[in-house]
Amino acid sequence: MAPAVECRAVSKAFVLRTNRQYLFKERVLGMVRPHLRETRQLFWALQQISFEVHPGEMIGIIGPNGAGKTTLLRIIAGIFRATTGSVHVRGRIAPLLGLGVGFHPELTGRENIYLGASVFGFTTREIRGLERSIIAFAELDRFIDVAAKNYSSGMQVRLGFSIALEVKPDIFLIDEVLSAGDEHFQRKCLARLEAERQAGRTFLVATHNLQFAEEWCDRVGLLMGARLDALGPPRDVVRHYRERVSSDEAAATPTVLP
Amino acid sequence: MIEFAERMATADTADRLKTAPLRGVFAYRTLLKYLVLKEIKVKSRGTYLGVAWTLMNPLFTIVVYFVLFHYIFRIQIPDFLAFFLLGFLMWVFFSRAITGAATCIVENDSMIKRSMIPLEILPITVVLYHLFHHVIAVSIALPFMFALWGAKMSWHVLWAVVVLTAFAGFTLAVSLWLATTGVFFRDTRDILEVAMPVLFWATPIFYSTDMAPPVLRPVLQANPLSSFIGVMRAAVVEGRAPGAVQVGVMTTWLVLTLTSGIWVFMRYQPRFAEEA
Repeated sequence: MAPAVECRAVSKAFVLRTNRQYLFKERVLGMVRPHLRETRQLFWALQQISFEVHPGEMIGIIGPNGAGKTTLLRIIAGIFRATTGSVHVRGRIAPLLGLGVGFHPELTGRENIYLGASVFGFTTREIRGLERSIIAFAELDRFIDVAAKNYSSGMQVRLGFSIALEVKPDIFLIDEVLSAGDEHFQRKCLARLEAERQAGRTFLVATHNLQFAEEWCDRVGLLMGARLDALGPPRDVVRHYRERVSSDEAAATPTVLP
Repeated sequence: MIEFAERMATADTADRLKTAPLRGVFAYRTLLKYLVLKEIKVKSRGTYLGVAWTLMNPLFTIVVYFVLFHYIFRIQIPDFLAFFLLGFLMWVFFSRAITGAATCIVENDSMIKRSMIPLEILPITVVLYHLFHHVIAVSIALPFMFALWGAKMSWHVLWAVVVLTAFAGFTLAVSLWLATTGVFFRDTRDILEVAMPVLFWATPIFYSTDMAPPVLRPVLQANPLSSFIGVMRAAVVEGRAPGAVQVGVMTTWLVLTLTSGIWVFMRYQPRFAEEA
C-alpha cells in the first residue's frame, strides 16, 4: 500500500538575521552605516529527514525542545516549505498544531465553534450538523452562549479539541495538544483517539510525553540536532533517547571536588 | 540562493503552495464569511451604538468639511454636497481598507502558522469588512442625495453597482500589494500614515480636475482614484452615462492592478508563515 506520508531527504534552513531589518528606514540607514547592516546566517532546523508513514499507523515524534518537531509537521502540512527534499501526502490532512485556532475571546463559545470549524474548511451546513456533538463532547452546554473570554483555559482547550475531533481527516498532524484538560477529559480524548485509530486514520504526533509515545505509537522517531536520530519500535527509541539525554547531562555536570 | 524543491502533495485540502487563488477562496468561503462576521461583531459588541460608531466618525468629518468648503471657500460646484459626499465615502472605504490590509498578515500570524487556510482570505476579509460599512453609508446617503441635495435620478444610477464592484476590486488589488510589503517591511503602515493625507488632497474629492491649472491636471488624472470617483459621480450625481474613455481608463486600472496584486501576493505568500 502506498504510504500516507512520504518525506524524502527533507531539509529546512532558516535564515537567522541579526540586526533584522524590518523597516525601510533601516535598509536606508544600513547603506551609510555598515554596523547597522543586517547579517545573515543559515540555520539548519532539519537535515535529510526521510521516512514513510503507512496508512493507519500512529507515529510519535520525540526529541528535545527546538529539535524541529513542529517545523517538520508544518512542512508536511504545507505551512512551511522544505528547503530541499520532497514531501508526498496522500489524503486529507488536518493539522492540530494548536487548539482553538481562529478563536476570538469576545465571541461566544457557539460563535467560536462556527469560526474554529470553518478554519478546517467546513461549510455552515456541515457545522450545524456537528454543533451538538461538539458542545456535548466539550461538556459546555451551560456556557456555550457565554463569551469565550470568561472561559477557564481548560474550557477553551476542550472546545478547541472537540472541534478538531470532528474533522475526520485521513491524516492527523498533532503537536502536543493531547495533554488538554483535566484527567477526566484526557481519558475521554484518549478513548476517542483510539476510536479514530480503529477507523483507520493515520497519525503523526509530536510529543514530550514519553509514556504516551511508548504506549500508543506503532513507531517512534527521535529528532535530535536537526536529524532523525532513530526511528523504530517505541520502547527501543525511547530508551535510546533517555540514555542520550542522561549521558549528555552527565557530561554537563561538573565533577564535585572532595 | 537556496533551491526550493517542488512539492508534490496530493492533499485535497488547500495546500498553500499549490492551490490557485480562486479555488482556495472558494473552498474556504465559509471561513471568509465568519471572519468578516467576527470583525463586525467584535468591533460593535459592548458598545452602545454598535455598527453606527463606524459610520458616525465620517459623518462628523463630512459636516465640518461641508461647512468649510461650501460656506467659507465657496466652491462653485453644482450640488456640492452630493458631489463631495460620494467621493469622500469612497475615500473612507479605500483608505481604511488598505491601511488594515497592510498589517493583516502579521496580526494573524498565529492562525497562519497553525492552519492550512489560503492566506488571500485575510486581505479579502479586510476589504469586505470595510465594504460592508461603505454599502451601509452609501445606502443611507443616496436617498438624501436624490431628495434634497440635487443629484439627478435616472436609470444610469445602476452604473453605481458596476463602479462599486470595480472599485472594491481595485481596493483589493492595492490591499494585496500592501499586505505583501507589510510582511517584509514593518513600517509599511507608518509610511501609509504619512502618504495617505497627501493622496487625499491629490484626489479630486472636494474639487474636480477641471478646476486645477492645466499643468497639474495630468497629475491629478493619473491618480486611479479620480477615475473611479469620476465615473461614480457621472452616474449618480449628474445622472448621465459615464463616457466610454472614462470607463475604459477605469477598467484598465482595475485589470492592471488586480492582476499584478494577485501575482505578487501569490508569489510571496509561501514565505508569509515564516516571516510573519
